[in-house]
Amino acid sequence: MAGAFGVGKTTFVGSASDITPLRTEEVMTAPSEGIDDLSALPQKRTTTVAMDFGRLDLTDNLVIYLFGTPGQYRFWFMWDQLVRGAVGVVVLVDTRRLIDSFPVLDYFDRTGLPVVVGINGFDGEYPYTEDEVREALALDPARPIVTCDARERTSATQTLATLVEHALAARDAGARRTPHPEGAR
Amino acid sequence: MTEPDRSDVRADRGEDAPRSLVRPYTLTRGRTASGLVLPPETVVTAREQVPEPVVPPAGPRVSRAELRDLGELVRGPLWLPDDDGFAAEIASSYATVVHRPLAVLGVRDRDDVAAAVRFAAERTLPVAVQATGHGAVAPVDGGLLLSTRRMRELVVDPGSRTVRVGAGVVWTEVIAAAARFGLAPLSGSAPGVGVTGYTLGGGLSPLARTYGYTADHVRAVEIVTADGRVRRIDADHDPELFWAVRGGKGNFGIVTTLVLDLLAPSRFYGGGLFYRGEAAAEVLHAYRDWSPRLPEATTTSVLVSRVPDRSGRLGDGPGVHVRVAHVGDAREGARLVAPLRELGPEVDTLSELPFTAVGTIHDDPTEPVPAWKGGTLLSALGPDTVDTVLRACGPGVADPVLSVELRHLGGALARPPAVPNAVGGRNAAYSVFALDVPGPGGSPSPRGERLLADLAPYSTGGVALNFLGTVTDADRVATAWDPATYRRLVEVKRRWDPENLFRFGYALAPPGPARRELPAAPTPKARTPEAGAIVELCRPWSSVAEISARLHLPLGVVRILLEDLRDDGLVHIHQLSPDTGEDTDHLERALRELRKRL
Repeated sequence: MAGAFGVGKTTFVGSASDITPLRTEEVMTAPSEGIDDLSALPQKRTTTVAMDFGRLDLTDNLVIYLFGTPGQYRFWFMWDQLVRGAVGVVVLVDTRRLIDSFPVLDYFDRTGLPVVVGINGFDGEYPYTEDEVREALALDPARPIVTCDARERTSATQTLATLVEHALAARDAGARRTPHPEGAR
Repeated sequence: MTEPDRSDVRADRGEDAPRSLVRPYTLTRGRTASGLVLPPETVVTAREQVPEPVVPPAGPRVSRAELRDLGELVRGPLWLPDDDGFAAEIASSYATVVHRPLAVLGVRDRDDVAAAVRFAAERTLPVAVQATGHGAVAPVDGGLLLSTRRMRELVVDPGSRTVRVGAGVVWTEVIAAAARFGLAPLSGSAPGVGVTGYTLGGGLSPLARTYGYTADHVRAVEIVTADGRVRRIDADHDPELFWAVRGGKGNFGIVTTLVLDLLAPSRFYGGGLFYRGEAAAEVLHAYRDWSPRLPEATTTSVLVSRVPDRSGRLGDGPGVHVRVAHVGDAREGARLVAPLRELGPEVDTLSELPFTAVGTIHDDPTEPVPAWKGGTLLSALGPDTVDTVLRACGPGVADPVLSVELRHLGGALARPPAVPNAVGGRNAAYSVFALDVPGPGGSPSPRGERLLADLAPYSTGGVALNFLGTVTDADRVATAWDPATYRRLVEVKRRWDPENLFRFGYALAPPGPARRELPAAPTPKARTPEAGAIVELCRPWSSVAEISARLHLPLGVVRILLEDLRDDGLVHIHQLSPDTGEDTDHLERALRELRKRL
């Protein structure tokens, strides 16, 4: 789960997860230097970042993990380890603050991960159509975009299903384009 | 107002105060978090402490006269060690395994088996069983060996699409009998192998991704249990025993007959692609990229081998043999295989084949070979895993492992059958099976053991039971099942074979009084409270993120503690390869399950 600060990631993880959503803390060192204002606390070399964590137990041996990490730029180092092995990412957007979504979408475009854009309707309101949002965010027509109410379990689950569908479709397309990309290793 | 005492000021600054660093976490081994990359989704399981196997009571005393009397009781022939024919009857497929039983009985039918088991039970004499000897893993010393090769019942029922198979029948015979009705069994890659042992250990057929384990297709079992009674068990009759024998192998009795499903499709598209050894890296890396994208209808494996005279061997060094079986349209099969064909195999035998040709896919050797064998299961096949395999057996390796096989799992293998059974390892993505020249005196191959150790970081921690090879220590046998399944098997064993008559082969740690003194979940030897709490949380499993969140420990601290616990053998860390998300099977299953929730 990605998205700008306050866009509803924590709520989404809580709605979709089969376990009570958890918070995990990573001790952050170097990446914060020069960004956090440390002048008031010269000894402080580390800070902690909270990460939301949820789990869907689909079958006895099939589990989906949900991770939501903070939306700010300076926490993106967390994503660098999470994108390894991830099926894909749901980028939640808030239509009242679209500008905050650009850097997040830009980051995931470069990872090559399957991305689904979820328009989180605050208070269940969707004042704009998917097409309007697509145009405003300059999204490729092939990129799925769905409306989703992060508070609703069904809606959150549907968004995850769309992401898995998209990941499978992207895989098929990739397989046709490059049958053995590393074959010549 | 007086000046404050100078020393108080210094104390406030901490300059002269007693130096006492508050350590928030007990990290005692000097390990640091740098370089530890366990991602938060990494699954961790507590390793159950497997009880030491009880040494069988030294040499049950049975007289030659008693054994001769048993020979009179039964229809089949009996040999004592100095009889002509004894050596031929006990010969196993592995020259490294030489049995030394007190006697071998060539049982002809279930009554012979029942009489022999009763005879043994009265004297607490252990009983072993052998059909072709392909499953021989350890010498049978001092027990009674039942040789089942004369139990030749083979009845196809085209109406119910089943076949009744006696304990001594081999797959070749079942394939031929079923083909007359346009049907086929889910046979093994080497059809000269006996049906019973293969099936009870799971059974990974060349078509396994489409149809699941062969053990998933057992309708009923006729078994002689330790009380000497013949029982016919199925989903409704002694279901717990029925669960256990399908995947628990020979631990519960002597199976005399199996009733197996037959399959209707009579043709498939398959065969082999053979490459020169120099192409091994290219082919294996292409294979790891290609295989996860295949549909369930396609089952594949790849072998890198230096075994002489194998058709996979081309020129000097190893040969590389990709095996393919696609159940379905030949054109679709050819389209799926195209990426590997582009790599330019030297020989290409892929074509539409009748089911009767299933044994030609792997083209396994048919003669007994003296060999060390061992295996493991992988959670994914990533670049590092492939490189590890190549370092053991690739071209130009100085002291190579003779052959290493990777089989692609998933598909139907990942799903429990309609009537659940004890087959383990359903979470695995690939199976590795290595074969090598044994060490001195038939000891394990050091090269092979090194390969398995090097693969450990990529392993699920499990192994396919039939690919355990020449390994019999209880600790390693236990890894063929998850801890819960293993405990359940031991419970079944306790109930059905309390005297541990059936203790040869891949034996469960025996039950009985010695076992009962051990707690089900022994207190871990963890050295710190945090470490102890982690082990508790990992029963049966947890993930790095959950451990961190539930114990309020930072991820870095959890990573350090987990590495310490792994060193102590208290947890197993199932490191997923970054490629896991590439597995189409997993994604398709996930999608199905998500949609069920909507």
